Amino acid sequence: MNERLVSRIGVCLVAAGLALTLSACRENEQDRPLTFDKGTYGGAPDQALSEQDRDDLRARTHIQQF
Amino acid sequence: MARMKFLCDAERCIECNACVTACKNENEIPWGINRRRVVTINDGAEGERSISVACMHCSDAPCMAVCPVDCFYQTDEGVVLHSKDLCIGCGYCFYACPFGAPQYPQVGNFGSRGKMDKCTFCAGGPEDDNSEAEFQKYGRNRLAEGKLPLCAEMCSTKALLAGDGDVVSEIYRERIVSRGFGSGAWGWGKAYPGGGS
Repeated sequence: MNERLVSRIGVCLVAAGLALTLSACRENEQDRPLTFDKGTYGGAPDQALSEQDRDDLRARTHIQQF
Repeated sequence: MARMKFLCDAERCIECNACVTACKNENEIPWGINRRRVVTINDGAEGERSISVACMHCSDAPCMAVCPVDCFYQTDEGVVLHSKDLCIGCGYCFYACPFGAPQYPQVGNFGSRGKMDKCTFCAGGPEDDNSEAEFQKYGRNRLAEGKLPLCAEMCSTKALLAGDGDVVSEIYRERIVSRGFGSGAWGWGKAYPGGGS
C-alpha cells in the first residue's frame, strides 16, 4: 500500500517536473526566437523611419557641406 | 529613399580622434570596445594619411552572409544592424568584415567573448526606438530623432561624412573637382560596389 502511494507520488512529481521543464521551452517565456530558419532574421521587426524623417536627415547632410 | 553611407575624406582627416571619443561618449560604449577607430598610414613619413574606420554598413554585408544565426538585418535606409538577443558571439562576422568593425566585450575563444558590438550608424537596434532597453544594448538612436551619427556631425574638418549616399558623394565630388586631384574615397568601393544600395 505504502509502496504504491510512494510510486504514485513519484509519478506525479516526474509529470510535474516534465511539465515545468517543457513549459520553459515556450518561445514567449524565453523572450527570444527558439526556431531557426536559415536566411531569415529571427528578431523583433525594426521600426521604419517616416518619409518626413528621411527628408529631414537628407537636409541634415547638407549642413556638412563646406 | 535615402541610403545611408559613411565617407572618410583622407585629405581632410587630421587624426584628432574626436569621432572616436564622440562615439564612445554618445553611445556609452564599454571599456575595451571602439566602434570607430582612426587608422594612420605612413605615420611621420611623406604621404601620411589618416582614415576614420567603423562599420561601413555595406550594401552586400559579408557579416550578414556568414552569421550562423542570422542576427543581422538591414533597415530601409541601408543601415546594417544586429540583435544582441540572437548573437552567440561566434566571431564569424569579425573574420568576414573587411573593416574590422565587429567588437567583443570579452577576450576568449568561441562563444566566450560575449555579444558582438559594432557601429549602428547611431540607429539603435530592434528594440523600441529610444527605449531604455535599446540604449543599454546598442546606444543612442539618433536617426529616429532626425539626427545623423555624432561622429560625422561633430567632425571639425568634415573629413567624415555620413548621410544619404547621393548627397555625401555629391559633396565629395565637389571637393575633388575644386582640389583638382585625387578620386575614390577609402573603403567606398569595397563597401558599396557599383554605388547602388
